This record gives sequence, structure tokens and C-alpha cells, in this order.
Amino acid sequence: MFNTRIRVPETAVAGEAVQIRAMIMHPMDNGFTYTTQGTIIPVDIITDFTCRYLGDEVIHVRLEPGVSANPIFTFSLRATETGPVDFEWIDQHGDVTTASATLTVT
Amino acid sequence: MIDRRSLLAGAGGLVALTVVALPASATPADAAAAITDLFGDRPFSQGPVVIEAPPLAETGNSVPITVRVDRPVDDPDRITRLAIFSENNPRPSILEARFGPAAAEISVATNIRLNGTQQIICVAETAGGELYRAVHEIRVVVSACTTLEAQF
Repeated sequence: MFNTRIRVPETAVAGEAVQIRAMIMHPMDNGFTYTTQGTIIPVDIITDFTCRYLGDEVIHVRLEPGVSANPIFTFSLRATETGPVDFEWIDQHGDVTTASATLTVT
Repeated sequence: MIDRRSLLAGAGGLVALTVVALPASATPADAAAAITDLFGDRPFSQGPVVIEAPPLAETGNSVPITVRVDRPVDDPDRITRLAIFSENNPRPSILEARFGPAAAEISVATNIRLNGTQQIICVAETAGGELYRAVHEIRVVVSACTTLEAQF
């Protein structure tokens, strides 16, 4: 599990495009950096990010080491009804980090 | 006997040893191969793909980039997938995004790493299988791949 920061507005009007931000605190080691002892740090990255709203996929991103440390994604979803917005990150070892928020639609 | 010439040659050798080998960077041909791997060998057409990124980035470690396709998501020929490629990074593929039915617009913003001044390529695929391509040049002052040993 890694720390995450997500930003989902509390309320939205039905039909509105809602901007979402999701970030995970992860070093995204690209395999080209060294420790102070001079040993190379192997690749260690988040490989998949998924956001779902009411169970439907909003966006799925497949990440490579070319994405910066603490990867952040800003995107938007179409608000239709009150429900959960779920976030899921999977790292290269298969560990899953999740976060969730509720979007209230008026 | 040690003369000045051999001393200088020896010092040069020491300097060469302490330089850390930098990762090999990709070429535009590698980027083209990565695009073919992901989308198949198909022609590109002119399309509404927009890459928003600064023309000059001070550090390549984190360059903000927004990729947007100006086409409504309820269009039957909507964009389903897009990917960002680099022509100069050690690994040409940077990310691949797939947009589901709940997305309000085809747009994603993130931060990427860049190994020096180069062109960023975005390829977007429609539901009908058509490919669109956009290119954006970013000048990078300090590359993301220049971290040397013990530079912390």
C-alpha cells in the first residue's frame, strides 16, 4: 500500500463533466539511478492505474518508467447519479493500492 | 621514469573510469517500432489530437503534459485508446491510456520524464480503428537520465 491523494468534488450536477485528480506516492524507479553506495536501483514502478465510476471504467492507464515519480493523473468523468468513484493502482509486484470517494449528484 | 605525458594520460584514464555510463537513448526508429508494436502497422491520418506541454522544460524529471482529443465521447467513432511516445528516452513508450464509457472527455494530464530535447508523439486510436498522430517538441535543459553516482 502506498499513500494516495485523490480529488473528487463532493457534489455535481447530473450531466456535468467532473474533473478528477489522482496521485500515488511512489518513487517510480526507472533503473538508471544509483544509491549513495553506487549500486544501481532496479526498476520498481506502478504498472496500471484504473478509475471506475458506478462500476464503469473511466480511464485505464498503463504506465512505463517514463512517467515521473508520484504519478498524477487528471481526467474527467460524466456525472450521472450518486455513487462511488473507485481508484486502483497495481505495482509491478502485483500489490494493489485502492482509494475511493463518493460523488453526490444533484 | 614518470614524465608529464604519461602522468596526464594516466589521469585521463582515471577520469574515464569514474564517468558512469549513461543509458542508451532510443532513436526515432525505435519510437516508430514501439508505435507499430502497440497499434499495428497502419497509416496515420490528420486528426484532432492536441498535446499541451511547455516548449521549454528546466528539468526532464517531471514535465507536465496534457493530451486531449477534441471529439465528443458519444461520437460513434470515439477515441478508445491513446499512447505517448518519446523519440529520445531509453524506453520509447511512456504511457498508454484507455478511455471507458464513463469518461466525459478524451483528455489526460500527467507528468513525464524526458531524456533531453526531443519530440513527443501522441497516437490516438478510434473505435473504428483509425489512427491519429500529433507531435510536440520540448526543449529540456537538464535531462532526467543524468543522475550520477552519489548525487543525493
